[in-house]
Amino acid sequence: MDNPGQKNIVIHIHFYGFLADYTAARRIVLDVPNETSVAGLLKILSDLYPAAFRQEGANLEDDRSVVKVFRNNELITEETILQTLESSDEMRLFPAISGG
Amino acid sequence: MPDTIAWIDLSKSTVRYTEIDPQLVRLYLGGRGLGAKLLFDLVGPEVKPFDPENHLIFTTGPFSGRPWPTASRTHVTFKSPATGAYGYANTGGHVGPELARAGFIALVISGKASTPVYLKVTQKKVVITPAEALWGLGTYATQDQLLGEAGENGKSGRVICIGPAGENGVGIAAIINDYGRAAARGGPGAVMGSKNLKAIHVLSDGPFQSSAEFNQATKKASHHLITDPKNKGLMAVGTNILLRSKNKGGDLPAKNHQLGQVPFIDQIDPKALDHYRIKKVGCASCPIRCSRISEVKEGDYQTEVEGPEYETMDSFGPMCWNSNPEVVIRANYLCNEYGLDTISTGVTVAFAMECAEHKLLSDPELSLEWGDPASILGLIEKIGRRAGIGDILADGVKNAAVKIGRGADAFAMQVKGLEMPRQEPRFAKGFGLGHATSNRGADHLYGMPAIDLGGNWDVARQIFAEEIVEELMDPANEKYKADMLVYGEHYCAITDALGICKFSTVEEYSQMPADLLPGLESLGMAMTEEKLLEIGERIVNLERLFNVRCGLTRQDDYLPKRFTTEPLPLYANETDPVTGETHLGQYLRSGQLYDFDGMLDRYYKLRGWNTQGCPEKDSLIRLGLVKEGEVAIGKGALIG
Repeated sequence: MDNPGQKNIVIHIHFYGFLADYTAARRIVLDVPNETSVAGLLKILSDLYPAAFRQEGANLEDDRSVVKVFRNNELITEETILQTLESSDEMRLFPAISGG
Repeated sequence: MPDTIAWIDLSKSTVRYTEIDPQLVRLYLGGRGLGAKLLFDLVGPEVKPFDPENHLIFTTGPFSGRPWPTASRTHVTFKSPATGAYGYANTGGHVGPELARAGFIALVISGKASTPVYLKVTQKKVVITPAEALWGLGTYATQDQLLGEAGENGKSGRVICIGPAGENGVGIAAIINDYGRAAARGGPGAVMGSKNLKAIHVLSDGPFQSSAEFNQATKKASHHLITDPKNKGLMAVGTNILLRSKNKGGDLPAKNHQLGQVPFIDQIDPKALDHYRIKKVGCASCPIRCSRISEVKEGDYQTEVEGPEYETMDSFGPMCWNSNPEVVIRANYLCNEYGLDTISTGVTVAFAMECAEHKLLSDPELSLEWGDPASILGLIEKIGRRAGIGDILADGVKNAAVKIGRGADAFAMQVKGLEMPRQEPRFAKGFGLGHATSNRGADHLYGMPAIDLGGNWDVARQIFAEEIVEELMDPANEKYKADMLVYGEHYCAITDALGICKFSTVEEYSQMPADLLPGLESLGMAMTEEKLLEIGERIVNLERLFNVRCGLTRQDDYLPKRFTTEPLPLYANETDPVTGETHLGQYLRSGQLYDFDGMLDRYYKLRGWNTQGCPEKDSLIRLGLVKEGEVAIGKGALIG
């Protein structure tokens, strides 16, 4: 994610459920540009791991979104998805399948 | 609050009325709790499911008939023909609230009428009424006959009834209400049929008043459910929102659990189903409104039906390797019309197809090939009528496997005799344990252990010790699935006892037990969250004691061998960026249950049960179940 002249921040990301299977990782550390929002991070992850996120509503504004995102243990909602990330933020991403 | 119990003896054609003992409400609330207590006291181990001495108990809860969000549920308790042990079923719609408004917390039905009857229920009054003219009718026609033209709008009351399957003693028969809701699991329709009871028609004098405090608590709870982002998908799409993500994660049981994914997900996903959706509907007092009316306008499968929801979609879709949603919609309609459990029927059809694949079963008219629409729909009708091989299949897969022999039990996806609901235990491991240990047989709604699958990280941190949360929230990690299940079972029991829907509680933990307390307090039932959860624990333990008394042990808490001996491959769902079509691509890993006994041991330990799954003395004392323990286990077992 390096761009010359642009300051990056480090984000810790935990994947759960099939997101861990599709990304072949349970935890990654990602450098993203300063001022990246949660929505921006989801876009970056969708580009990095298209099979994991495509059609799973990584855009939380989608009624059919089945991804739950927690930033430092707080659930991200439509109202908070544009929050700007800070260095060392801990993100947890779940494919929210639930019951039946 | 509904306070009257009607004791209906169909053999003697008598109805007796009593007021509910307030102590029972304090200990069990109502609904499932009250049903469990009454069944335990009334039906001993010597009673067989179709004996007149078996009881069919309809119960409502303290919230029933009130505006509390999702207070729509009706509970039915009975000794189950599917399991030969504890049985219950639970349905939404409108009939439960109507029954509560008529003043009833329970209808306790025993005996057997000499000729077909139905019950006409009005304000605190039950009349046993001849029903010869209704016998043989499907459930839609039965409701039409009893309700007249007012029908579905509820002005002439609400009906709960059986169809031909229940009349024919089909062991997987359901009770149908409100033109498309079902108290389905465990064969309650067959028990009702065995009593020559065709229907119950309920017409109350109308709503009762709730206090300002209750209405205020209701308003707050409703607002919370509507605005909670966790409920957005369920409100917008219904339960079929699960289809795509389950297919990605290997949790979409297919081909009788030989697979956990299908290559035809695009054909059955919510977008495909939108083509058939004509209306969004909901149960009484429900702000979520997860249900949909579907219509196939023309062709071989022309039908209009409420549904199909996720469980039905998987049962007649992937499980039978059927990619045509129109066939699922038609299958849903036929099950409703005959009065059949869509889960058990779909699993039974899939069982028949796998038996046919192994040359263990054949039919002169149906190919029984995977995905064959004529076989799926034809088998439903044969099961409903007990015609041809339908007679072999009518009592579910466990009994059918015994009749077929030659190793057919390997294809019987059931626990305790009840067909498995639509989760895949090798990927959804909490559900695997829950299906195995549920007291009514394989059941996703007994504990709804999906805090991990639902991604409810915040809920897990609130409930469990911090040091176990990370492992608990990993669906592949077996270590703490028992912890998640035990908590879920208590909360599910409370939910059922109050008469509310699990989509407002354990599905997303949108409401926690503490959120229910203001409603209870305004009804004069103030208690702590711990005491409320203890009621849930009491109910689960009493249900377990019923099964212990029926002779069930640890051996009855296991999954079919397929789940512990056959690893299940997971393939990436890959979507073509140009066509948008999804296919199964790269192999990722295999799902497997590694130490099921370890999960079971922890579950028993957390519960305070011995290694055979029987509640121990300390637990029974703590829960106030010593007397019931003595009845179930014997006085000697509790001494010392």
